[in-house]
Amino acid sequence: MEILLIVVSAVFVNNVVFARFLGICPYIGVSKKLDTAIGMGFAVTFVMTLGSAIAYLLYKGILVPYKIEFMQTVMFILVIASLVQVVEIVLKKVSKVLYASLGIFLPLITTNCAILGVAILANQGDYNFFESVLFSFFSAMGFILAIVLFAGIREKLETADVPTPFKNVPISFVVAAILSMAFMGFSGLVK
Amino acid sequence: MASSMILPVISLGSVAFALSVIILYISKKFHVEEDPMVEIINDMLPGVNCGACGLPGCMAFAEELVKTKNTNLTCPPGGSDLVSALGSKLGLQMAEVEPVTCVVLCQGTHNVVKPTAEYVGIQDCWAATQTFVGPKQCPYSCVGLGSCIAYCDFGAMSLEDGIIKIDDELCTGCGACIPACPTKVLALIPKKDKQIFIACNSHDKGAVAKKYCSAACIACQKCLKACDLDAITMDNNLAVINQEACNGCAKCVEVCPVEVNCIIERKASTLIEEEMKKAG
Repeated sequence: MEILLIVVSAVFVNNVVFARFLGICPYIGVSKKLDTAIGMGFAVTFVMTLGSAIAYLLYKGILVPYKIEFMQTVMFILVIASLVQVVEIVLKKVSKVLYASLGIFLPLITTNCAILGVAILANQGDYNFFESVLFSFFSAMGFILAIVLFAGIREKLETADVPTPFKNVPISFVVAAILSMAFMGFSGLVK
Repeated sequence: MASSMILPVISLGSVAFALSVIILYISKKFHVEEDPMVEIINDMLPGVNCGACGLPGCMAFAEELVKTKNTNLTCPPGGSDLVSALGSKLGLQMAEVEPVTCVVLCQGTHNVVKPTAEYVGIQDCWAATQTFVGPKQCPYSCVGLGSCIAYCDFGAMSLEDGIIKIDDELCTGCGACIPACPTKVLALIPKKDKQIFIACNSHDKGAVAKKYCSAACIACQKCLKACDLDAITMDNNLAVINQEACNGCAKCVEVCPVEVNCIIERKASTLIEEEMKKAG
């Protein structure tokens, strides 16, 4: 039951994009095409899950015992940045195909605030290790859901007759706001 | 004060050190050998990622060329100069590339071809052709909404009086625009000083084609008989010029009986200048 709550909360109720407004940059930037949106989504999933797992261990293992919790932002940025480096190097060697398909998105993730945000959130809620990994994984799923939905809409928007001042990004923001409001319907479902 | 600072500094420093050691170890362990030549070749390429070589992007072309040393690889936007430069860099004798340019096989401007009705839907050729025959009565014509323009990386295409116009100076013959045309009026032909081609795409019978367009090939076969080299053939009610056999004598151009001559003789700007000089 607890797990189900975490999943529903992470994907729908507290969706990273729609409820927490994290990761808006890639959400607007790489949602022009469905393919690239999915690619970005998987790259985020990969780094987000791994990143918060390691962040959790560091937090509970070093920051809490020495009472230096205020260091978490710096520490997590360090971890995420190096993790992206490692993942990139390993991926290049192990799976050239995956490396090529993720392409530029992988280094871009270093500065994706959704990753840092989820890593911090996963430590704030009183989760154990398994739950925090689960939470970050499904937060990433929520990100994929958001970006894929949005990319699908934006592909349709390409052929829509939009007034010139609203073309491209402005109309995307309007659509994102409406989508976000739709997701607000989930609020109150899980505490 | 000092003690409250020491702990964060040490912990952050040690974590950073540990991570840097890990990255160093992994980058050594998972090092991928990369040919520096790939980077050099990639820098020489136009970098427009048009895909005319049949590979996904310029980087892929560079990798393929360095890896396979395939002398038949060509880069249409770069032309023969670039390919031979690449060859000399790699010590290869590259295959000769014949430069090509893109031409529009339609002369259906607004006053030449009859319109069907005013089209106010999505301003896209593919959408327009799905609604009915398209804005023009000829189902083979250039639709004239310019869906292909976005595919041209070189800005060589523009809309003029309802049909696409291609700037020969800018066109590199990459062929990226060809699949973007729903009626297939774009084609590549060899770049010569004197280009002769049939600027019509209609496969309808002469009587039918003549009704809707005054520039349509009516399949009269006069050009076929006029050609001394047998370079012209008929393909399903449309004359086709075999570009390899054509010597540019332009006899066919003279005999074409169609109101707006459907055989086009186009001279390169340099040739026109020369003739102007001769004429004074």
